[in-house]
Amino acid sequence: MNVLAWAGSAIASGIRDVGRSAISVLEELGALTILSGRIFRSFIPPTLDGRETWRAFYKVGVKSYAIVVMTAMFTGAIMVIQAGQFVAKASATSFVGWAAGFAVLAEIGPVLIGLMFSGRVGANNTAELGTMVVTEQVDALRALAIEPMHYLVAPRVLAMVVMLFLLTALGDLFALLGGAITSELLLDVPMRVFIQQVVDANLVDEYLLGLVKGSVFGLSIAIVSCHFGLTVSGGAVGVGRAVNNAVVVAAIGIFVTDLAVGLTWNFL
Amino acid sequence: MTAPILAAQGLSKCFGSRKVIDGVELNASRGEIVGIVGPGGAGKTVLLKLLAGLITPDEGTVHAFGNDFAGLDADQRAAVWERFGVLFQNYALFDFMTVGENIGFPLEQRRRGDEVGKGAAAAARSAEIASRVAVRLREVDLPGTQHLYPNELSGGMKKRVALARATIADADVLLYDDPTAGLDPVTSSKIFALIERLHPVRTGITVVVSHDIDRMLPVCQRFILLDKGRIRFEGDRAAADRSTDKMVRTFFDSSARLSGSDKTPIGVHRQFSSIELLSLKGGRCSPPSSLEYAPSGAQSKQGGGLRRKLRGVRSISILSDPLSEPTADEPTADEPTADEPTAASRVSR
Repeated sequence: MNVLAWAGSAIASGIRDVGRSAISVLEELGALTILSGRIFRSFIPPTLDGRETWRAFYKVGVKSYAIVVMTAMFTGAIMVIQAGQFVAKASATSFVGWAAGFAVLAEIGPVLIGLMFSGRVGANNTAELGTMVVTEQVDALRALAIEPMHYLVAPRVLAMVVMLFLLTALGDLFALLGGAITSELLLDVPMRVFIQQVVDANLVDEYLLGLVKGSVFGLSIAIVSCHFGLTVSGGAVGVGRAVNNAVVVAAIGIFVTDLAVGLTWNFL
Repeated sequence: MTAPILAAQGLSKCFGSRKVIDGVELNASRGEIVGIVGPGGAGKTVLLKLLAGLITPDEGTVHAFGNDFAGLDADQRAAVWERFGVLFQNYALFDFMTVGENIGFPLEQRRRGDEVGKGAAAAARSAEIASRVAVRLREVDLPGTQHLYPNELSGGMKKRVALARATIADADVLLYDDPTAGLDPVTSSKIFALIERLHPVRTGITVVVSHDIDRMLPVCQRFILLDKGRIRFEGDRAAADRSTDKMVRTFFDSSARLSGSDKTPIGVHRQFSSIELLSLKGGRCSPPSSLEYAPSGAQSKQGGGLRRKLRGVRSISILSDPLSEPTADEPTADEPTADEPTAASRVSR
């Protein structure tokens, strides 16, 4: 009887935990949806602060391109190394450019650049907004009759969407360069031949798909990082927790939106 | 009696299950300087933010210039906020702006709102803003610091920059949250003199939250003593002096407060003469490994009523809350007098 009671209590506790987690997830989704609506509303009419927008673009783009370029080059190199094993076995080195290009442009490039962007820019954004909340800077803006959604959030969202699009475009090119260098060094496929293979494969669709993904990832990272930043509570510990949550949720967001964009692209 | 510029009715605010503000009523009329005092955690900062419309109350209303904050749309609220100047407890300086940009920010934003545009008019307005910033910086004793960033300033300097920013736009409602916290006495006096001088006596009000009662007394015309989210006292200095409430007298009577902060070694005062220190070991300066309290009011006619047993400590501050009501465990035979410390004493070996 005691065992039955214990089992019943454990099951009830488990159900409670699952229910609590589900409610928590739904609450976060609801909050993200409301924030998205407020962000889109803040662009109508577009009343962005020029200086703050420029600052956001500079910080998001200029300060991120080096790390994106490096990530992209390694991504391209890794794709060639992975593809190279099978290509060498099958003596089909003429496919290495196509295989690496296809994987990098459509999938691996945008996703890895997005994850790197999320860890660098998204986390930084959450920490900055969170610190502004706990040090009352956001309240100070409101007390100065300045809407934080217009002044702080909208420029950041715009910068992340535009800059991740551009960084993906740039990163893809460097990924192919990294792949070309690796193919010459490890597979004895000259860079010129590798690039010719990519061109012949006509991967424009994949390139465009990657760019669309980059923009969508930028939007998702921006919304998630702003949400967690603006809802910080509990001082420095709260900021740390928010950054952690933002990085995890943004990463999940990247994979979910990757799937959604991929399915939609194929459907269209 | 003129219509109140700022009026709060039945304000209540909870954070979680904790009621931080409980049924507060407050009116401030043109020309008034109102001081809000109270022990830490009484809800002073939350009340100030409610009055500023930065926090939405759970119950009650806040009217500013006759407008209920709850009924205003974003643009109307922004129009009201343009007449506010707020100094925040944590300075709230924008880290990414220099001191000059921080102070000039309210004027800069209004310039954009006025659509001055570009060219000579905009340049003239920029020069005017820079000049006003320089003047205000001199007034807060920080001349020539325009180009520094907030992280290059000390806490006191940040506070003065925040004060300069709050007041530069000649707001009608000035709300100061602990404007002298962490400042030296000389600077604190200067700050309060500045608060008095910048007070919009003809057009608005000033509300000051502070613990610096000695400096508030000559500046504020009316005081509100907040205790556990409720107004415990409201009135001027004379009314505070007449009050029979022990807490009010402790807050407003400087001699009572002085005795509360006395640092004279324990044993000198009758209040603590019943305390028996047992096994006081020297040699280590560490937190007490154990601290025992035992009610023993009957042992002391002075009513100290506590026996403390300290082990392994060289020195310890013994704090007793003079504002708490006496309990059965801690009988207080005598009311504290000016020469009897009640708030803090330091035991030193």
